[in-house]
Amino acid sequence: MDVEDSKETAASTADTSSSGVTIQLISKEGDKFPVPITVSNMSELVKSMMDDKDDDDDDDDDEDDDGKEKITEIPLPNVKSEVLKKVIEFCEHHLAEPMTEIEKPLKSQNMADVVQKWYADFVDLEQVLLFELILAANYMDIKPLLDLTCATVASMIKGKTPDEIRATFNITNDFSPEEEAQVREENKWCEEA
Amino acid sequence: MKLASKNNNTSSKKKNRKRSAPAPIIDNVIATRTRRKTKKIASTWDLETPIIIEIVSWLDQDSLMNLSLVSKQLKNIICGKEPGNKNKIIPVFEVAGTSPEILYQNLRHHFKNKKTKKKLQDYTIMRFKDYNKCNGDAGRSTDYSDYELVQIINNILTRIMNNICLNGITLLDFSSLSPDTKRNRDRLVLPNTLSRILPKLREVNFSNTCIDGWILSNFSRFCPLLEKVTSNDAKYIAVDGEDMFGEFGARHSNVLKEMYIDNTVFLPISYYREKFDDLNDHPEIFIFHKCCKAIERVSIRNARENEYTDSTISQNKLIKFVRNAPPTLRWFRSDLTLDNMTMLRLERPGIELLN
Repeated sequence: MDVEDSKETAASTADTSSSGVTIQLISKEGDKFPVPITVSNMSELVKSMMDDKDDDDDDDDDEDDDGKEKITEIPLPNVKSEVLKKVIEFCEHHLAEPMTEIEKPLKSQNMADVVQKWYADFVDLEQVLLFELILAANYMDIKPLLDLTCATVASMIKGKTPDEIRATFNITNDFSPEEEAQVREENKWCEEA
Repeated sequence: MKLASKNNNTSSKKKNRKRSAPAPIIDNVIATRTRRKTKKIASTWDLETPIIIEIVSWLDQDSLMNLSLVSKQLKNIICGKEPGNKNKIIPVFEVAGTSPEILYQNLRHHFKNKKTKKKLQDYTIMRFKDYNKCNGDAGRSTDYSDYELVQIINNILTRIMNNICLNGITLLDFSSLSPDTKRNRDRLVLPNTLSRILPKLREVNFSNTCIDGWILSNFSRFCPLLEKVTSNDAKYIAVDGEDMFGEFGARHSNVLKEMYIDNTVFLPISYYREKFDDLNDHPEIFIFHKCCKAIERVSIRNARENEYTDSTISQNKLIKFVRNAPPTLRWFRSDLTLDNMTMLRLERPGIELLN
């Protein structure tokens, strides 16, 4: 991701701060993303790090010596700027329009059938970025984002044959024909009557 | 909720308050935009197992089965004993066709082989594939008479069903996608005999399949663990619940918990018929009074008292059922009028009433 882009995102995100407390999330590349604490607190990881920080600073003031508000920096070395930008976009929208709970098992291959349109559009991504989002959601411990992204991968599996799934995710078939037949039989016995 | 991760290094030690972010993921574990890296990663689906389990948790049974055939890695996660994976494949014994004789002959053949016999006990669901699309006893111009039907069933029972028992089956899925338009009586042979070989059955689904009280009484008699019955095309069901854990299955009458039997035609019971409508007397006599000691959920929408006339079940019968049903009942869907539901909600607030 272009650093200039990330700075623009950072600036626009900071403008949306309403709580007055801003957290700087720092991506793997070192790009800084200022976000309101309400947004960053959707991540249980950031929240717990902030709690630790509060414990550290419980005797300190919230202002620097020159009177400016301190900005807490949270490094996220596992998350690339491009991915972090998407994570922040998700969290901001989730605060405005919480995602409806997705029903298990998934009822449709089309995400727009199981979740609001914005969220379905949000995960209409390249597969690579989608998997990176899953890892980021897991790492940052953001359950709704993890649900959405994992459900999206599941929607790409639903209704497909094993061959189609392999083609979709570029997975090699390491079963011999006999092994595959055995697994099929373990799953389902077909009796003609 | 965070999935277990090798990289999870977030726990803080109070004494050493220095904040540190979790260790970074090794570069290129995740595919990037280049074709080469994408191929490398995707070929092994190199996600941590807890994340694959999370993805798997969204899948239905058919998708799980297909995914388990994709690679050994996925098969081991889905079918193995991975801790945390609650969405397992439920093995299905699927039958295509409708010939009871062939089915039982095949089963008898499988049971002669010890290995196959043991293997058959692993299946949890027994499902009939497109039962209503099959021709049944093809070539017959007339339907079976009652006498013929009993002869056929007895013949199967005595000749070919001995020692066949599928102890693993807990769900019998006899449902079809479309209603049975042929309604041949030869179709009654299979369900009437199956109950004898499924002693651990807990749930049976007859949606879109024509059944009668005879079939239900067999299941009540031979399947003592049966908890849930689903049907939308049942005829001649005893209004007192005799078929379902009545005379034969009285000892199991505290097991049946759910009945979804919309469109049922009840069997008229002449000798104490009026008592089911009597709101002032005989509180012990009401719909299903013989089979509802543990009942929790009942649906009898569009129930009728007669096959040939439009005799919708009376409001008094429905009211009397709600008033006298055991305290276990918490959900009842029927053709009660809105006024009657309003009245009954005050009397039995613990029951969710719908129509």
